[in-house]
Amino acid sequence: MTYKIIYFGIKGRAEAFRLIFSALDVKYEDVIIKSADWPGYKPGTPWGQLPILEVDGQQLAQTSTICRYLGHTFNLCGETAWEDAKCDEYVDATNDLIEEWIGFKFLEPDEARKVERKAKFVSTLIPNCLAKLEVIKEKNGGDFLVGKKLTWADINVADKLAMLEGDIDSTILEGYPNLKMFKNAVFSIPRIKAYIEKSGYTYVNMDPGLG
Amino acid sequence: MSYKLYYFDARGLNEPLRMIFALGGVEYEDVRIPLGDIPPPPTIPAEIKEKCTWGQVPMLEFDGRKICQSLAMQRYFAKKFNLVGSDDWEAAQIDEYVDSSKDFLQVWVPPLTEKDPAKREELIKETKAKTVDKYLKTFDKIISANGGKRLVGKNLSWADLWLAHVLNNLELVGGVKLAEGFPALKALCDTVFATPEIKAWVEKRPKSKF
Repeated sequence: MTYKIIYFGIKGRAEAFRLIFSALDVKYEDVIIKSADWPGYKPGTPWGQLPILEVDGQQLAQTSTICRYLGHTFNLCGETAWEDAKCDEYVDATNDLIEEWIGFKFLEPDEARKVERKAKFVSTLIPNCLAKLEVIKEKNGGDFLVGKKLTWADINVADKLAMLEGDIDSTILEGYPNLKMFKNAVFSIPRIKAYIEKSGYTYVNMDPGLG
Repeated sequence: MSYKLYYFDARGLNEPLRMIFALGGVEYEDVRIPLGDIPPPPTIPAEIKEKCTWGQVPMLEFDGRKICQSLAMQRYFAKKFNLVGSDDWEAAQIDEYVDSSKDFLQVWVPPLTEKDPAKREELIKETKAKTVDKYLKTFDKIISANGGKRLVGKNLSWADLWLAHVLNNLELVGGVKLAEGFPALKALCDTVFATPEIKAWVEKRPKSKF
């Protein structure tokens, strides 16, 4: 099987895939689309968006779908249908948070509204989400969010937490000891740690036009 | 096993779950929270909201367990009732088309909840133009390439339910008929709504604005 990630040269929505591949030591090609080339490339994509995963030439779109597919292909998933459903639930719930971040950071044209939305994000939306996730993590015990082993949902959510630490506030997980331990557990996995150490990508999109 | 579903008195994002329940013959208590005159966003009664893990609906309780997030819930039951294709790749394509159908539905929320009639007309026109290429043509091509009636594989999937629901809902909420001129889209919708359990559900489901 040959795997290609087609995305921009940033962590963004593709980082979770790169982390999953690294954890598994599965080779993939990182096809980087430069912002200047995007307008010409866009019409040829299924939904006018990136990232895309190409598997033996067949394309798959939609970030969570790609993570879930890789999780199931490589057995980084729940051990029961119920655990799989919980993986989906936690990824979807944290997606809402990230979509709001993308909304005010990259897509909000009104400066005053942007400041307002960010303030609400920091004062209310982040704590609401993290508090709930903290309880979930604590109840599950062990190192991970669901069941006893690493799943695609752990990697997906840990990546989001790292992104919030990087862009909003590096102390964001203080006050959520279980989430702090969880994120460290995922990022200490030797292959993941090695990938992060040598990856030059950042979370922040340098080109606002890409969204 | 008793199922208790909490959502608004609406089809919205959760109708595919009710369609999946219809196909699976699931009996459930359908708790419908009044939507009010949106916008502003509806209020979830405190005694329900505090039970919802993320403070949102839909939420499903059964067998002493609880699950939230509309697509997570739907996927769990879609798997139970064989609506997820025949392998991991088909399941992933189905997920992709569900995600895109949901994006398609959400793009239409601002125009269809706009109260000013002139602004609403304008937004509907704009949104139609925006969504023809991105969603209608794309989905129509996918269905045609797959034999003309379904999005993925040989059998009905929950992606078919989602797309048929979005097109049906646009018609019910705003009189917007987008499948006209797209034979494969129309064939997909006809196939879904002719399925006996879906037909029966649509005939008896509560009438709601959204």
